[in-house]
Amino acid sequence: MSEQSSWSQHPGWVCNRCNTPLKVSRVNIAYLNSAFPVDLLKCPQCGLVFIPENLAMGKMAEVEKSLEDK
Amino acid sequence: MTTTLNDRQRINQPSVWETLGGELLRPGGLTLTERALALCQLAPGACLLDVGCGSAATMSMSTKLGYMCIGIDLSAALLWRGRAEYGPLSLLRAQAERLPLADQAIDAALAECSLSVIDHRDQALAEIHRVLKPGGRLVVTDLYARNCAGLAALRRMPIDACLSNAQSAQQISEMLAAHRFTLECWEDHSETLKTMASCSGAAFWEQTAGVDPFDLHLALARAQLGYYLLVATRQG
Repeated sequence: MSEQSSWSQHPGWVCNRCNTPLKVSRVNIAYLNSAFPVDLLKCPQCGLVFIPENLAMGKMAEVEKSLEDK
Repeated sequence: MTTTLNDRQRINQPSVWETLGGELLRPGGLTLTERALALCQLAPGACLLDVGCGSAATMSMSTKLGYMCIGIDLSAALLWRGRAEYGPLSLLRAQAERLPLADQAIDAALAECSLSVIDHRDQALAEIHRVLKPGGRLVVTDLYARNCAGLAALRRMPIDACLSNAQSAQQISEMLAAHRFTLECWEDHSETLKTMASCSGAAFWEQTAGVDPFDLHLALARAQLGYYLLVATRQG
């Protein structure tokens, strides 16, 4: 979970739509009938979730491929 | 002093069983139990020991089939539930590593999805060997890793449950041989894992709090977890 914590503690992100500071929230990321609860920065007003590039291109991409290969 | 439950204990709480898999938190359910008993070819009235009997579903079914059954489990709550649901059964709160039974008293022992969560498997197998009659049957159904190369990553997961304790088929076979059991039959029932889809749901992740879900998924995928049924015979 340490990697997740480092994404979550990233300061200063503000929602472009609402101009509201993002807050760490539990988010369920679902793909092909599997759901993964992760702590990510989320806009408390509109629900926009910030997914860091290294997560999207790294582990999430690996998990996607693994689910598609099943 | 604060007492905390480890993952293994949490998984054994009745509420978790309800949320995860309903009555039976194990792949294959009673269908696989029936298959196992058929493979054992036991005589009517044979005495069975259910190691990790939970709320006694297997015992209830086996009793109806005409066998005598004794069940042990560590969870008092599950044993109480078994009594409430199925009436008077021989249910004991005991450790698999210290069976409260006489030598050579049992015709067949079943460990359905329980061997991988026993703290001291070698000690438990030695005890099962002790209480089984010569030629007695040991039935095990459990998770196993179909890709040994993925086991190391699975072991590194900070979770103490059947998932991270899975062994390869060869390791299981060697472990049985070391405890003087002859493997009679090994069947792959990995397809039964698909019916445990709820294990990827919210309740499952709640029980594995602190584990990166992506890391856990990748470790499980690399190990290619499967599910087996084996029947072994006690030597000597």
